[in-house]
Amino acid sequence: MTTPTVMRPVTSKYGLGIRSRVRPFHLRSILVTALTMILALIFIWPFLCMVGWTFNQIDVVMNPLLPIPAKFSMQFYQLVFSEKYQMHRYALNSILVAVATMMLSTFTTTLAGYAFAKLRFPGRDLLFSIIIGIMLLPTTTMLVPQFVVMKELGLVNKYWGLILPSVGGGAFGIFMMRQFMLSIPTEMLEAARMDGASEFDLFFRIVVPNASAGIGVIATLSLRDSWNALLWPQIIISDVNKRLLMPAIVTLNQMQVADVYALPVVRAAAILAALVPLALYAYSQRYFISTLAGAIKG
Amino acid sequence: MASVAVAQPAKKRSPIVEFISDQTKWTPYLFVAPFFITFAIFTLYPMLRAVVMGFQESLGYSGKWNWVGLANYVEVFTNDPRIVTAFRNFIYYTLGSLATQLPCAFFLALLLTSPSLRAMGLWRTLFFIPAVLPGVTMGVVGLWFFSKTHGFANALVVAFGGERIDWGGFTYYIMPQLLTIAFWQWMGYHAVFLIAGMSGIGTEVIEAAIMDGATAWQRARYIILPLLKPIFAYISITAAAGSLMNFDIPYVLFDAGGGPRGQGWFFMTHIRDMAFVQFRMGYATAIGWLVFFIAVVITVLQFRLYNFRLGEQEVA
Repeated sequence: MTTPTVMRPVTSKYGLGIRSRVRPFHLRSILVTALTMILALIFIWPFLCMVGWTFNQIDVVMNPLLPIPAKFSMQFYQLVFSEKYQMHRYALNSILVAVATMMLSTFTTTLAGYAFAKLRFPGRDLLFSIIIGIMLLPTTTMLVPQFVVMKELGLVNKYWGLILPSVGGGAFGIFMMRQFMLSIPTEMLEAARMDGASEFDLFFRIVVPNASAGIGVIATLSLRDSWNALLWPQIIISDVNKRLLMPAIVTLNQMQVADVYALPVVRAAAILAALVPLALYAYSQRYFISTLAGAIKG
Repeated sequence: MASVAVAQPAKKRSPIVEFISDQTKWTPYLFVAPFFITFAIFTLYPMLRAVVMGFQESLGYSGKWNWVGLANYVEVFTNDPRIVTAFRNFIYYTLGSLATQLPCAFFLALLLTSPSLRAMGLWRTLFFIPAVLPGVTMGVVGLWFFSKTHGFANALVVAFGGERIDWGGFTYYIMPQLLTIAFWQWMGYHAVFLIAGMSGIGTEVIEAAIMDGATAWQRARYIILPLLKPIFAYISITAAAGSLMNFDIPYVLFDAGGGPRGQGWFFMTHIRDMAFVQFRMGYATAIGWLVFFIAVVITVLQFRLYNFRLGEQEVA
């Protein structure tokens, strides 16, 4: 190219862009980017300030409007992992439940999504309509009867009480997985079937490798949901030693009248707890947003 | 597809043997079975139980239940001020969220689709992040932000020469606090949906408008905004459904209670309190049914307004 301009393809991905040539340091470009940067800074500023607060020494006053501690200290984070508060134990409990749930539910979600997308069987469309109906049901409201049934099944205060209800995968996950699976060429499956591959071979050798992106999204969403969950773990697990991280943070938050260190520990733990979904999001962010957007584009 | 290995003539075999011996016939059912089995045990059965439980009252955790007839439902509809509070908060929270978040989300979406913007992906990610964080973290950040002694909000108030405000002590600060936190959580999330909607608008439409001399403001107001109507409808409905199930933030903010003067109850915090603090499982189930039917009404509205396009997706 002879001119110092950058060609920008006008694709729908970049929205309403009409001007196909944007100079690298065009005034307008600088203004728009600077404006966005300022807005983003305002948007995350309070978060940064609270992170700063958790690194401040407890008896030193700091300006809450700035993310810089008046006197730097790691004491709150040390307390988070101390013998008294042991947040790492609750975090490990959470990880155990989240990983077990993710492995089982992702497997079953993938199986069901594949069956609905690529297999022909009598009753398929009816079953799939039922799944869509279930997806729209506000089942969260049935919390109390669900708890009563869990109690009768002897699953209260057990991790299985958290894991088992999700083991079959969620209706929304199956719906999404089916959409992913539709893009796998049916001819590929037919050819393998001709070669004498069993249905299980097909699933593990062809479907799973070809749907890895979709499986990744489902697994990530499952991990995030288990990790972030508060209400269900709160009512199912009452044993202090088995408690998960989110209920543990909230319970400690309620003790701040009796314990001066409860509040700082809660804040530091809440920030650390946010790192897990943040890391998951960083890992799969392009899938994340496109999945969400895809859910409504039709 | 009769198997070759079996010596019997295919005609004489019973349909059951036929079904079992042909893998392609039964594997699909095996693949979809886990979902339906767990759904039946952990959701469908509890829902059937809930029909009965709504007419009963539990005696603590004893497992014994008394028949109370319609008493629970009579109480839900005539004699529970918390239900009125929860319903009012649901309406205010939904409308307040939409009124504060949608205009900003629209403006942000315009900005984030601007061809002049550099590092577009970075900004989109930044604004979206709060939506993936745990509700507990957002609640704790909110408590810090509105802390009377060392919070961000009061530091701002003092910086502008005002008096420190006791945010947690007065009923009229309940909604502003909740809406501020909700703004952080969901504004960028809504912007992502609007961006998706904007990328669905053909460039020809915009190009034609530019040819006709439409300014950027006119394009945003008279072309993009009307074309995004279905997206706005979708966001409004999902926001309503979300505020109906709102739990984490009010639970953290009001210490599992109802906030100042009990004016901060939401349906889910009320249900939890009734069932697991006051041990009134039957009554909590009755409230659950009320919320269930409100949610169903919202879903029906969703179909009507948005013209849900599942059919088209199946072809795609």
